[in-house]
Amino acid sequence: MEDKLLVLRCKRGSKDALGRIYEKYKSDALVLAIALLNNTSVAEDVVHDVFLSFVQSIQKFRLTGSLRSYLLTCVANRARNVNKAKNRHGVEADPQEPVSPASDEPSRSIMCNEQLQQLGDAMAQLPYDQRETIMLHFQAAMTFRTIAKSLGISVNTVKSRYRYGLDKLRLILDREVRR
Amino acid sequence: MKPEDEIRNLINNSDVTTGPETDKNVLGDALKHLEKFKKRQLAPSQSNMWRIIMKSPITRIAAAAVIIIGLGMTVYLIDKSTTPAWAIDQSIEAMKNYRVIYFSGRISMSWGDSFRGLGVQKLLELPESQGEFEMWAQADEGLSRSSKVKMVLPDNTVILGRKLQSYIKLAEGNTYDVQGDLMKIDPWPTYELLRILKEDTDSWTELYGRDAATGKDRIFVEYASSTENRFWKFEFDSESKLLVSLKQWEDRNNHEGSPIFDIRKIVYFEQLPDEIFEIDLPDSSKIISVNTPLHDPNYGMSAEGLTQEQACRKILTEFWQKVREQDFDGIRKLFPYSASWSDEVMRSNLGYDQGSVKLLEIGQIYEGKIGPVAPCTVQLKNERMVIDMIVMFREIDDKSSCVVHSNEGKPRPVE
Repeated sequence: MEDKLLVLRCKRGSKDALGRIYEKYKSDALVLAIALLNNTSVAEDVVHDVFLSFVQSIQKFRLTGSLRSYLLTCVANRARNVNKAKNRHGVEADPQEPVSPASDEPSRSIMCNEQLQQLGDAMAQLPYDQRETIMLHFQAAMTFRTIAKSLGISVNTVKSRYRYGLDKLRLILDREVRR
Repeated sequence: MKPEDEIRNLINNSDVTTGPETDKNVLGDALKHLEKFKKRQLAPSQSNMWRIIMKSPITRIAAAAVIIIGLGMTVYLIDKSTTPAWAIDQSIEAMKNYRVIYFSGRISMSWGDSFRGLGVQKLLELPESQGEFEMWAQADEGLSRSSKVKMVLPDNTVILGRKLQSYIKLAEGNTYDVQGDLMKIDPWPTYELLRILKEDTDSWTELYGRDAATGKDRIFVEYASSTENRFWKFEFDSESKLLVSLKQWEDRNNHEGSPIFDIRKIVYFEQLPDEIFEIDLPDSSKIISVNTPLHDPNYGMSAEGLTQEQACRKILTEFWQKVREQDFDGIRKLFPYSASWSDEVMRSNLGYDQGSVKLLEIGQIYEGKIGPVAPCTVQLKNERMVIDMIVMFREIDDKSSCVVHSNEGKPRPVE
């Protein structure tokens, strides 16, 4: 109910309401973007674009489900496009590039906690499709069926990406612990 | 812990902290765009409302269906046989096509009184004055009640009601974002009201007349509701069959004085742009909740094992006892509309300034729209009044219970 009110007030141009939506969901959006892209700077751009696009389409926007799910789905869609663009230009996202702490880029000010750094590093070693499925299922709380619909693939494909990704992630994290 | 749960925990515990630079970068741009959007979207003032309607593409599509019917000043009665035959079904059919209406007229109940029942009048600083008003209203899909209402008072106070949300902008600038159903029209004053009238033919009279100024034939219908303490006078245009004017009294037996609603101009639309039902509320608007816990099991009284009549008599006897004892928490529990009332509002709304209230008897219970209605005779100072009280029954978790819903119509002196 609170989100519906915030969206309604946003539609009427309330800056306060937009600020509250941002404060409420910025962490979730950034965690998802960082886990998918393993780069805080690019993640920030993705979240920036999602909020901008949200405002630009606010007049036609109708909240039918959860605002959190909506925003996280937008983040995932945009992150996928960023990833595709990188692949098209022949610049593979460096799987070994660590999540950039704020100190690397003075103009940015995102501080990742230890768990997120660990997650970002581990996720970067998975194929993009697998990390996307795992994050959408765990963080955006989407069912396999919803993920399949959103990506335009079969539920079985989603399940197998999830299972392979999870197995691999487990091995990576175990290896980290042993180190 | 399962490996799957470990990964879930890792994701759930992942977090970021953003500094001012990121917030400025991400939120700043969004806010700039919102500001641009806001400038484009500023709600129209009343003065240019008609201009927006006539310029809107939606309105143009419906332009052929815009019908403006004003009430003539002088009407003389004529013989029924000299005018085309009129039947209520024709008017119901004609009004089925119009989901949006504009009407203007006069209300003879103070704005304070109108909202006092919800206990928000003091919170909202609504003007006490009564008088002229303009109203835009859109019906729900079934044309049974309003889904959006915008009322404009002579001092430019704007009250907007949309389902469970209401907005109020007072003339002097204070604005409110009200979480609750503050304003709606139920039944829809054209189609649904006539449909009810048709089904309830008790005390329905027809007169035929002609508007002296326009020469148009008119049909006048007077109707005393058998289920509510209300009386209406309708005027229909003989040619279009549409309702032209409407007067409503809150007393089915007395309609000599000023009607509580006197609607003198009605404009019918098939559709209007949404902008009509917008209002510009600044961020500083006060947020007030007036949601009524009518379906909350913590309110009301169990009706298990009781007949409807027994339950009505029991809850109303308890209610009036609590009113007499000034047991405000007890009143709030049985009468959920008062849940948000402060003690001060409670005293004012329940008439404690006129002395204590004592229940004398509960008369013959009759079936109302919301639930059974019981005429309660109460002693108030040196006067005996009859107040028709509505009891609402609920089934929550397979258990029957009831609450005091509200009073029906105006209290009346004992005959």
